[in-house]
Amino acid sequence: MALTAMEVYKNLPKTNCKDCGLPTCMAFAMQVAAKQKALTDCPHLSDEAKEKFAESSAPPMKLIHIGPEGEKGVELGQETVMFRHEEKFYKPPALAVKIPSSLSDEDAAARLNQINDAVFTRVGDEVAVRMAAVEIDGLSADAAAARVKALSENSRVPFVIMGQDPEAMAAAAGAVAAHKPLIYKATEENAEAFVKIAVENKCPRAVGAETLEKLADLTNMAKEQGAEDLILAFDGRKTVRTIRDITMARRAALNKNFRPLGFPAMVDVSLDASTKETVLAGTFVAKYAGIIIINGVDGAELLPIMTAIQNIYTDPQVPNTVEAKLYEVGEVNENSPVLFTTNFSLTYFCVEAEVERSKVPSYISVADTEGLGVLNAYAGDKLSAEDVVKTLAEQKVAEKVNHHKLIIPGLLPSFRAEIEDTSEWKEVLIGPENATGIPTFLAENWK
Amino acid sequence: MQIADVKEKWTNQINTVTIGATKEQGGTRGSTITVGGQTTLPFLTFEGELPNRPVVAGVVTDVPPEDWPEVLKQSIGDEINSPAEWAQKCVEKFKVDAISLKLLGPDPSGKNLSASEAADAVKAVLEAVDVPLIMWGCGDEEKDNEVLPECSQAAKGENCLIGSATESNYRTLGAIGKADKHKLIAEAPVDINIAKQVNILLDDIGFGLEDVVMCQSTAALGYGFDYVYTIFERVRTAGLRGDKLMALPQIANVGWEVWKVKEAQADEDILPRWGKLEKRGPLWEATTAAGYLQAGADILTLAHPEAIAITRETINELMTE
Repeated sequence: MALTAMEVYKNLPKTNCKDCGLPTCMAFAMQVAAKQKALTDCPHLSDEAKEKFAESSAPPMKLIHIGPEGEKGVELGQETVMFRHEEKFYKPPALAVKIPSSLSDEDAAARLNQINDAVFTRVGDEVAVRMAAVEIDGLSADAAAARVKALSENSRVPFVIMGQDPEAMAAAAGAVAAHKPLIYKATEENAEAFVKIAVENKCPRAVGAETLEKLADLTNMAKEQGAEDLILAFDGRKTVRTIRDITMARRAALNKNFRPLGFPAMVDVSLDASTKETVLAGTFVAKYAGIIIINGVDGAELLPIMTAIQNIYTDPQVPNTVEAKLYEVGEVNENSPVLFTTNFSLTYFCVEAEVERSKVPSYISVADTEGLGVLNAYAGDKLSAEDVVKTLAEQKVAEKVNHHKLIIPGLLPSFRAEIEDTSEWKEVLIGPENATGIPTFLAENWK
Repeated sequence: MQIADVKEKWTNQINTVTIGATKEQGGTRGSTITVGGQTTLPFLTFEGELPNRPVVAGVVTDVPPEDWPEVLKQSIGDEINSPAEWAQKCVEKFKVDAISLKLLGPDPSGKNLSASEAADAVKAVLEAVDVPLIMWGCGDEEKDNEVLPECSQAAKGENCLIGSATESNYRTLGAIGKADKHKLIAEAPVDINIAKQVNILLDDIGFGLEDVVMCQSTAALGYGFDYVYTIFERVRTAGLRGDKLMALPQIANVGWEVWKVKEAQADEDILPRWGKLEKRGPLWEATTAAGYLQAGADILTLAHPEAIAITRETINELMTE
């Protein structure tokens, strides 16, 4: 929970010394409350006050790092809000594909290769499976260590090591400790042994319990023993109960600054029924999961979940834009139609999808309207007929085709005359108002 | 240890809306559906009531939807050529709670059928099945203003849900809703302020908001889903916090929108490694639906039988403690 200015002020020296760069202690307190200054920017803060605030000025949800530092690692936590419109969701969840212990060494290696290959590009962004969940239940300590060791040598992604048996887990975690795997998972039964493994190997650890109360007991115990890099683990297959628990845990952390639950969450939704698994995974993308354990590694199963992650974790306060340039859809040639639109990504992708659906290879010229859609750009003075002409000239569109026809959005019919008068685009066609009308429009007007 | 009390105190209840009318109620439906009535966010039963489960309406069109990908057409079968048979299959085989009839035929850029031809389709569906009916115009407002009054009249007394009332045609829709005793869908173009404005306009002409279901326009996963998801959430939280103009059930027209996007149209030849369309398409639809359920959707339209089946199962689990 954020500190109020008064709470901060009470603990300041109240000397108005200006050493922090602000005229009064009260002004400083207000900036601290607004998170524009750190409390430690006051050079005269008493040790007592420092200690008091160390706790409450820490982020309400701890940042947890899994895997080696840098690109291969996964960072979770430090979320600040319950609803994305209040700010944004920061750390996109990592999909962790399971490698069951029942697989032979050969099949496990093959599975890892599928995971390594599960990297896709969607709307210009790379999306990928970001973890492998290596199951060691049922394996001897030696076999568990050998399995994770062998897999780690060929892995693009960090591991979740899934097991209940302390002996096997100690061996497996020890074998790949340098890769900082997530130890999954400590429960009431094995808590003490698992804390020890985490401390010895300096690995983050997942904790799970029947109730949130018991879960808080487990995280407190871990804290006392210095194993504070925790992930709260839930069973996503108990859907409605987990939605409740994961929501309560996040509210407790973010709204009440309740430290024992101030950690990122993860869910296991792995099922044999792959369609249900995909839908459950999508559900927990919306509902606060930081890691989602699944079985499915087929593109048809992964892409819907990855796209949900892309969508839910975009910043709602920043308009999504695509690069303003000339796009080619399909096998274009000098007779292909030229359509014009703005760089608001939703607008562009709708136009692109409809052009694809029309099966008429086309050029789409995209203007930079700072991420505004057609009407908003026009209303906000970000798009005029002059801008259209300029954009087409900059993108050298006229050189690509041997005609002078330009299709403009149906929402901007008034642009036609000016474009025709001031450019080589002598035949401006007024397209449909809605992108869904493009296939019909092209069928009728582009023969 | 005891954990912090995190129950929210919501002050308002979402409106309850019933669609369909049985014989006793002046219609011919065998069943009705009731949505809304919540006093908390989706599935948070620890702090409020969710008296009515979300419902699934099967998408049916009056003329065969030519733009649909083959995998979708094939999943429905030959019945796709007859709205009555398709509706029957939806109810009997796919187990939907209602039919969502898209009146595509009158579209001037398509077959340009007459209003009375559309009304015939409405009558045929009403005769073929006895679940409640949702109907949508083709989207060409001028034509819809001709078509919807006739379709509304053909379904008089059936307490249908008719869409969509927008900023520009709310008067026509309000009038037919009142005259023929139907509920209305109020639709806005992914804009929460316009969404509220449409509700105000309907309220102004005396069409009670207790007879309205909101539609924020529907985006498929990957194509503006985030915008619509967030509007759903904002509308629902505003409604629960006491804004009576936002305390309305919401519909997501998933089945109609999802199959237009690339990921639900293109197979592996165009999207190598993205998995077979046969599997990816229904999952795209069902995952989109699952997202909207979490944001506050009360009615989902769905097209593919597998998407319908998974979504029904998801709803069952979400409503079972």
